[in-house]
Amino acid sequence: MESGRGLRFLHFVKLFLLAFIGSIAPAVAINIEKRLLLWAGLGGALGYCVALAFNPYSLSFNIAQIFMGTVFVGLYSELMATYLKAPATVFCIPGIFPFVPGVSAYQTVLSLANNEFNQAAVYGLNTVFKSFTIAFGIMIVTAFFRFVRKQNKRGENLPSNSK
Amino acid sequence: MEQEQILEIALQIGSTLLQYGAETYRVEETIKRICDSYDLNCEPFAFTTGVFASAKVEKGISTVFKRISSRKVDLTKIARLNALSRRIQREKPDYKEIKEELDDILKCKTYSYGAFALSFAFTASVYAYLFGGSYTDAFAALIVGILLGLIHPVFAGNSSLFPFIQYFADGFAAGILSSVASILIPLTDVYIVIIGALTNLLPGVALTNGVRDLLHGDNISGVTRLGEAFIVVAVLAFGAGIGLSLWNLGGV
Repeated sequence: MESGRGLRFLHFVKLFLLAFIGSIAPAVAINIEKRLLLWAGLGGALGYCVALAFNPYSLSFNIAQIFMGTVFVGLYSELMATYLKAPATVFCIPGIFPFVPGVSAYQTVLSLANNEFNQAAVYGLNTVFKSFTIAFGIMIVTAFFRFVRKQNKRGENLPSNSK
Repeated sequence: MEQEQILEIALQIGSTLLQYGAETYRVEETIKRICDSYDLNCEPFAFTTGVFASAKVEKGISTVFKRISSRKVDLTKIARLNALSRRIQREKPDYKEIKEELDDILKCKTYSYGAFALSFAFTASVYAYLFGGSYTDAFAALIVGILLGLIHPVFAGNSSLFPFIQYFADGFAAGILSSVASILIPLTDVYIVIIGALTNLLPGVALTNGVRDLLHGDNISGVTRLGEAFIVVAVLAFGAGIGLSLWNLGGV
């Protein structure tokens, strides 16, 4: 029992580090600012672990896991954007990188090229659903923060508007 | 500042944002915010390959358009342009100062050639492992990633090549390198290695951004981005497939 828990903890640490590198490395390729590099990696790694926590036994995530992960990445990006004075996209793009379905898009085309149309349909739908989920997860958080900010701004402007 | 100059600055900032991978709604919002802060009533329209902005000036209606030929994500430039647009709103600096700042942003330094290659290597290796590869697969992907990262800027930096040829060259290089690596390093799965190597190049983020544009109501840019992403995937797979089969022909 003890060793099982220890192993599971090690599993999490290993995947946390892998996701950390997996968010930092693509971020360097798209020229992120040096001061934000580690923060972006942290967001990606935490988001990955949030998704992993719902089902630690499989590395291929289902839609619900991806949704939870991206909502976390969205929240983290918006908070860090205010805290570190940078646009939220800078944290979002590296953060969602471990989830993006680039590989299933590739597998779709590969199956099409090999005349395996059933496989292509499976991979294609997988790609579509995953990218919709990621976009939706990020979108919900962005919309929420926008709404809150607009409300705050309206509150501040009220006295000057009413004169 | 004159009204035409305001429009020019706003459009230049907007088009640079678009060129370096900002979302469509952010581009439109930035142009509108800059014009608003100078009390210029402006109507921007951005899509994936260009930006329009039209404003009512003293002499009538003025419309400017900027075509964007190449796109590439650059987070430093997005962050700095964002900061600049906020500064314009706050302080309203004069034309020359903004121009100088813009030039400075365009020239901002990027990571070195070696760091770029290493980033490709680590991405390839991590995702080869996460995709179910063994440690040897990850090691092979690391080597392939470094070489791919050294080759990639040669084609991507050359604006005289069509995007199609750039992606094809990338895919082809990934295919050849992966098959060589899987033969030289024992116990590697060429399929996993090639997927790891291609993770660097596959437009997963563009795909997600396309859906994001669609959800946001920017249908034109959404569909364009999705179409672009599909073409890129197809060309990469095409290049990789030809690379693999060429090596098999020669090797067998």
